[in-house]
Amino acid sequence: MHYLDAKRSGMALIIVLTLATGILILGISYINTIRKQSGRNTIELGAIQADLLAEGLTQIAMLKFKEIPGPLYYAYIAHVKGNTSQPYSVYHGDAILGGKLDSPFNAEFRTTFQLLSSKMYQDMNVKITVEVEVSRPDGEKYQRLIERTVSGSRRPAF
Amino acid sequence: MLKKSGTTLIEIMIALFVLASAMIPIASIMGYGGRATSKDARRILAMQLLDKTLRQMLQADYDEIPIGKNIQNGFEGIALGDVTAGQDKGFSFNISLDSEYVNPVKFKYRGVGVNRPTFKADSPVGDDFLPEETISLNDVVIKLTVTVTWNEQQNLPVSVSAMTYRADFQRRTG
Repeated sequence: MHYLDAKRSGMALIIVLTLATGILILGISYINTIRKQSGRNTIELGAIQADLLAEGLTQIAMLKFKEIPGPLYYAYIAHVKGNTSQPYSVYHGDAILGGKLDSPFNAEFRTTFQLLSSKMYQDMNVKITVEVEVSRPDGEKYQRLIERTVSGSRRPAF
Repeated sequence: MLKKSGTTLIEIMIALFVLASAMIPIASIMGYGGRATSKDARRILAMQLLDKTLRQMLQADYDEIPIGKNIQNGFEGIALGDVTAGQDKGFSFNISLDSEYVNPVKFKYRGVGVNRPTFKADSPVGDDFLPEETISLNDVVIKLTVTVTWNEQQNLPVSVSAMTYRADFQRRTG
């Protein structure tokens, strides 16, 4: 009897230590979950930035197409006929529509124009594709691709 | 018998002491969790405001967009300056705009000699194209940077910002 009691002594301490350790483990995993969640919110900002930059570049591409549509039409025809791709390449050579940004964040972007079914001097339909990759300081990358079809028709001057 | 009872009491007291020692950091962890959740909520709200504000500017009338640094006055129904948001509008934010023209905007192209005798509109060749040209346009693209700032604990200012471009692609309307 005395032997059994001596063996039981200290059991409460062991149980409490086990419980306390268990609760601490739960607490640590809880903190880790919250830390990961905070990181995800930072990621969201990268995704928002990539999307907004892509939208802005799409507007600039629409401006270029509206200003100089004819050269795109002939450059694209020459490109798909296999005659020459150089004029089509020149049309895509603007630094504002394809290149890199170093400030206020790092980004790489590219814009392409693709002629859809069109009849010169009557209508022109173009698919503008903007690809953006934003890099966060922590190394995470966020890609965004926007495709927009622009339709134009020639109207009489008066 | 008395000796045995005394041992149990000491045991319980030590156990309570250990448990209490463990509960203090645990309570602090719970408090940290609550604060972090609240901090995340403010950050998410700030990002929503940032996204909404810039998207409104992408749709706004080009000529109405003010140019300058740290613009706090709203326009075209777009809220700038001090705003409140969140549940019961319990969080305060400041939205500011930095805007500048991207001048000049340069576009490259190669024109076509449509009057050349050998020119075929449905199959232009390399010789039909004129040398590379560049057109330069001014005041047709605005770089927009919006910053949303708010205060965390101990009045520590925190901010998120994003940028985009607004182009005047509707300028030829006639």
